[in-house]
Amino acid sequence: MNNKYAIVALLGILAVLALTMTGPGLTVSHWNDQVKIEGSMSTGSLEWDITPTGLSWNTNTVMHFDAGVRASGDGPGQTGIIGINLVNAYPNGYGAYVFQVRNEGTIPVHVTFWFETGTGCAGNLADYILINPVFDAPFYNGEFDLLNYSIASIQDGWTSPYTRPLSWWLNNVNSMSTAMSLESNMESGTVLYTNTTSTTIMQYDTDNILMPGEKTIIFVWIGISDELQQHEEYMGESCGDAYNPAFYIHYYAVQALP
Amino acid sequence: MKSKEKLALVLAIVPLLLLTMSGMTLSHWDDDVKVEGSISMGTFDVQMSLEDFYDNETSLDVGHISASLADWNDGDDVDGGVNDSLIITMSNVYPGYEGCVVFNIDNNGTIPAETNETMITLTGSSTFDWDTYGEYVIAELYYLGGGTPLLLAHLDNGSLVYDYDFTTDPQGLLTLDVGESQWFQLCIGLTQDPNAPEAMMDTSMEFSLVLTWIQAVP
Repeated sequence: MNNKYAIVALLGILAVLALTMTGPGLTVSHWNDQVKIEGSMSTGSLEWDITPTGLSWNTNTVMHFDAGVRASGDGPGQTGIIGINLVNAYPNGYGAYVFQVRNEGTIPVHVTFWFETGTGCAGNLADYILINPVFDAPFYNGEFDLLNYSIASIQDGWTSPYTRPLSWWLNNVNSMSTAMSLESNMESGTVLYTNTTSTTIMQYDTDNILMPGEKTIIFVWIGISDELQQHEEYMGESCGDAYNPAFYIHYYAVQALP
Repeated sequence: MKSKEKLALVLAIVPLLLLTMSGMTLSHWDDDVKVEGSISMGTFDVQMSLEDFYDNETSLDVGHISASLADWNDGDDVDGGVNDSLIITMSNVYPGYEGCVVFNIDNNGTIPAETNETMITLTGSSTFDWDTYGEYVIAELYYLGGGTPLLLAHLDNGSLVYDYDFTTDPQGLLTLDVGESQWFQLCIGLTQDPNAPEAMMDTSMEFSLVLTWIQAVP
């Protein structure tokens, strides 16, 4: 064998050996380090309800309310209905019905209400139903006082004083003896609806938020306008339940935005 | 013995003796040279550091986010994987809520590091119904080192989508020189979608994002 060829062959073998050894060496010798991000996310819940408290106040004992939940709407995308009948109503008879809103979930909610009058006699009785929702508890110095709170806005026949201590409302309206938020986040307001029609749905969208665990009381003033006296066609016995006009509260809640 | 034979014997022994004596003498004239070397290894250590975390709630304060650093030994961390893990916990999340965590990836070693998109893996919890709810989940990874936030990747129906060209890597995000840090932000939340299914309430999901860094080739 020629010496030149022998040298070339030897160099070739060395190169192969070098590559063979370097190859695994490269793989192994590459140090590495890992970092990681571990995340977990749990969602909350949107739960709330509106319940009639069974408490009401009216100008006398003749007229009273018969209320009940017609459809529950305690979840997202659901609309609930509370039906209230003014039993044995008459012109110039007024009263306040009380119901409670509770946020039982973990997410703040906006509650929106629609007030709808039922079809009365000839479908026009609704024109004489007055609706006045009050989205805040009228407390003065810890006393529940409808008279002083509402005197500026209520009409004749609405002025009978009705004063209870705060503790009474805590125990009776909310069936709880522990302190809780009766200072509603809902904006107090006086919205008086008159001359409604049975086909009109009135909406009151609360601007404020009911926080998780919070409760509030909503008073709805309902009455029959004395103008009805001028329309005896609605007062005759032929009108059937015209003396018990129906009134519906539709409610709907959506989560509050961040 | 004849004189010729004696002479031949002498001639044979004398040079041998001379050579032997000469050799003994030469063997004392030696010298050693040596090369002493020492190699000290560098360290390869990529860690994370936490800058901040916050959410998008302004008037409310019901959703919660927290973030913290933790050690994570990926198997051969000589330091036990100090600060190799970032733990993000979000609770009471609702549609529209979004939380963000600002963090750094730091090269705390003595050797440059590099990575590529194939070494980024995302794993979501198998118990979460990604097919049904994935479209409502927001997850966006931003690079903050360039001034304005640069969207690098986001979650699309539960799958990781790259918005950044990792092939050309114009921001040089795939390399970390010694002592260098890269600044990132990860935002997670739920979309503000009125059609978000009610069944998403009271559910939980987990995810794990792993980035593998290797030493840069000389």
